Amino acid sequence: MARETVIGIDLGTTNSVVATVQSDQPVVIKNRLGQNLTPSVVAVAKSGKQLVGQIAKRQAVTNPDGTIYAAKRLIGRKFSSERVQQLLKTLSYSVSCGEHDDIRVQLGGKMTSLPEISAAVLRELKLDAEAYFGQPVSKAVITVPAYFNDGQRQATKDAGAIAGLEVLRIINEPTAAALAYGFGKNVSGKVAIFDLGGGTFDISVLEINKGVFDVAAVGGDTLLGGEDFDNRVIEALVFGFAKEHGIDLRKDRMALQRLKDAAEKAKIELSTVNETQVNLPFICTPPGGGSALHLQRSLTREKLEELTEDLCERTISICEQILAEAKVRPDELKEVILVGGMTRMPRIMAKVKKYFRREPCKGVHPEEVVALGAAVQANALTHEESRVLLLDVTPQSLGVAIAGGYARALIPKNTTVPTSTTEIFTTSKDCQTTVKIMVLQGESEIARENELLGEFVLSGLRDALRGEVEIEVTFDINSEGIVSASAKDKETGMQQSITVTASGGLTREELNQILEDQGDQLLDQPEQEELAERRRDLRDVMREVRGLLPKIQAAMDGSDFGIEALKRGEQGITEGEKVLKSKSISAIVSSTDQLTRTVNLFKGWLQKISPPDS
Amino acid sequence: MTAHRARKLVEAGVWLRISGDHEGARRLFEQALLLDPTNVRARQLLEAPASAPLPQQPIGRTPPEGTPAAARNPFVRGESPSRSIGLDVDWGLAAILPESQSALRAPKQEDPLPESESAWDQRSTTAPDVGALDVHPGTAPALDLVSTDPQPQPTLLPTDPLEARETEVQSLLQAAQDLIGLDDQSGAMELILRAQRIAPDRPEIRQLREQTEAKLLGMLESKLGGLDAMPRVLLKQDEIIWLNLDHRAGFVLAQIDGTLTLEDLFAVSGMSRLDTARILTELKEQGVISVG
Repeated sequence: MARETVIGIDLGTTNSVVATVQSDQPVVIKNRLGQNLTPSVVAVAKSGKQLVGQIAKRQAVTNPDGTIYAAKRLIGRKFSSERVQQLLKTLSYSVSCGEHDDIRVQLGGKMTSLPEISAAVLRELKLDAEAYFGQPVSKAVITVPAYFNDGQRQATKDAGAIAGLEVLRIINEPTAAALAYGFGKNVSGKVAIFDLGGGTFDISVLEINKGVFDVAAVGGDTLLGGEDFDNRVIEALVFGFAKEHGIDLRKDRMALQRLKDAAEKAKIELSTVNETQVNLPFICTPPGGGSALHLQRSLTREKLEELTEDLCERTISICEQILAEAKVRPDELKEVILVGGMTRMPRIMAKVKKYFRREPCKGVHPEEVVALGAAVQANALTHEESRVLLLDVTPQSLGVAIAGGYARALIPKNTTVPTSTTEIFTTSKDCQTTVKIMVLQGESEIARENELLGEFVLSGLRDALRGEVEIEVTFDINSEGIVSASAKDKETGMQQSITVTASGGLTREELNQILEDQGDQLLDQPEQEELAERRRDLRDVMREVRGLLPKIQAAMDGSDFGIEALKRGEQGITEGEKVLKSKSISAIVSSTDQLTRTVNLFKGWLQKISPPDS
Repeated sequence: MTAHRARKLVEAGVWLRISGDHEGARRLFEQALLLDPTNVRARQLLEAPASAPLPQQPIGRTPPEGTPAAARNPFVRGESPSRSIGLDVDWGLAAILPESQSALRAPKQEDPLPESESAWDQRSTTAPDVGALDVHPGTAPALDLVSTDPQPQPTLLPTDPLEARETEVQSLLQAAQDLIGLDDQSGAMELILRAQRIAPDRPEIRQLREQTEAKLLGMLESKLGGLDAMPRVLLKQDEIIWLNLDHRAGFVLAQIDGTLTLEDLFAVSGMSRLDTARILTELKEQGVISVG
């Protein structure tokens, strides 16, 4: 019996990768363009066509409000959160608040949820995998950053469901990277994962013990990545051009798109060569007219390093801070794994080596390592013989809001589930007869800086001075990750409780609706294809009639003979143009048939009047 | 009536010649002569060679020896030496761009008739002025012809500005219809856009524009071939820089890397489908790219 095909997906902020395990070796599945990386970009072009991946990325600057990028930064977050409000300032597309304080983005004239956007990317990867295997793929392991809370994880799961994938497990990116190196089997101890991707920087320390991957420390900067390096190159090119020609290329979207592509290419090249050329012919036309200008410049590795030195240094400062907070010394680490394309930059590698005082792990491509680890885990979950023990842990601390606007953690992050804990609290005011239990998730001591998972009220407490009434609060997380919180008046035994399931922003009803709508779309699909095919037929026959009309005209030689047929041909083309804009297959077929008859008539006529040898 | 109509056709033809469409202009002059064989101006304009000075080299450079002919002078039509791919006829944008950015007018700093709605309104009402009309010094033979017209034929223009505008719109639309009749969709398009700028709210102009655009797009797409085909650049980087392209054509050319189909290029260009199709067609016709 054939083995079930399963995939591992690194759903990244800027790029995504899909991988699988074949003959016990994890391998990356190339997309249908033959590339390992698929940009996590979704767009709707002016024509209304949905674009995903490379093609969407290539029109991102010229179609800024119709292109959604970095959806991962927003997925599963609350619109009203400070973080989101800050992020909004950096986005070129329109974002609004959904009914449940979730985030919606405007795409192709429709308000779309973030899970739907991520689903478009996942669907593309699923199709790539299906093209690779030649059979349907329905099961996947998807990776997320270690700091993602339950809501963000649930939203990612929802995205998988919308894409038609059964998400076997959501695993942490650093864990996946360590799995790709087989560290679960042969390494015990602390391992650092230095992940500098296209849009984010994460540093994690994993404590690996007998196949258990515990996130000992995690931190980073969600607004530091390869794009910042590209922007420095762009600035240098723009500045040089402005100095030479007095024109700011950033004001022209077409020029900016080309600069962006060229800057990224130059940056990548400078990881392997010392000098590269940036050639952008006809980059702009001067405002007063005249010949278009070219941008031609050479860029050295030294110059790139000079332009980005502070960014490189920032990654190391963050490492210092996170390791210090976790009380981990660099020399305690057993290994350092590099993740993300930016870690190919020699300057970054040198800085990492210097700070961690060791050579980072090599052997697995940094862009692919997370997806390969996800594939290893997917394989382990579906094939008994290769099972790697990977325990679920709570990604963030769970607690309650207490007086003064503070948060008190009851279950710290990285606690293995299932788990349960109880703590005693008291009333905070005199004569307080009710208490509100607000269930929070996050690491901040300030209550409002954490995610509110749910709340309930315990009432009927006796009149007493503050601190006299004791309330027992119990948190319980079962193996499915479902959190139950209860509060009991110790004196009366009166109890209230709440069950919290993570929400990715979409309600169950909304998710079901999307899945249902999608079902309709799937049913529509063959019709869409047929529509495209019929339109092609009509265009072909219109082209043929257009080609014949001048011949007929010439053959008429100024006479009225055949003028009606000629008119019919012209009318048929006008009608055909109208019909092409409609979605009516029957109208298109009818127009095609009519024009086909005209073609036959014209051809027959031309044959009759032409001399036999012509 | 036919003489009046012939004069209108001549005016439209002169305008087309100014904007670089010498073929369209020739057709209109011929049409005018058919209607009024005594129209001296039409005959003179028709007989005058639409000769062109040498093409402008991009950013003042000289192509190196050995540069292929297509790369040396690839986009210079016999009748339109200064015309480059991309900007000079912006069908998709002209109607929404401000006048100052419109590709269908002479460069601003050289515009001799800043107040006039139409370049030929003033020519037809006043005696030709060589200096004033020489909007493209050394590159506008049509204007030289106008300026050397020995006896410009006066046009009976209404004195009421509204009526004058209406007359002009009608002239343009009639000339456009004539060109459509002669299957010169691109010439017609220029005149329709001109009319639309004068009377932007007229539904019949919009309708005519849409029809012509659709025809033009159909023609351009059929010239390109199958839209699923993947175009490829035929010239080397060092040859490309000697082409006479504008930044929009440069952008489209930069996107052609052997991974995108024509249909993809329409999606990534950020321009209207018509503009993109026109640029791609010209690139193909000039041997810069191959399709399929």
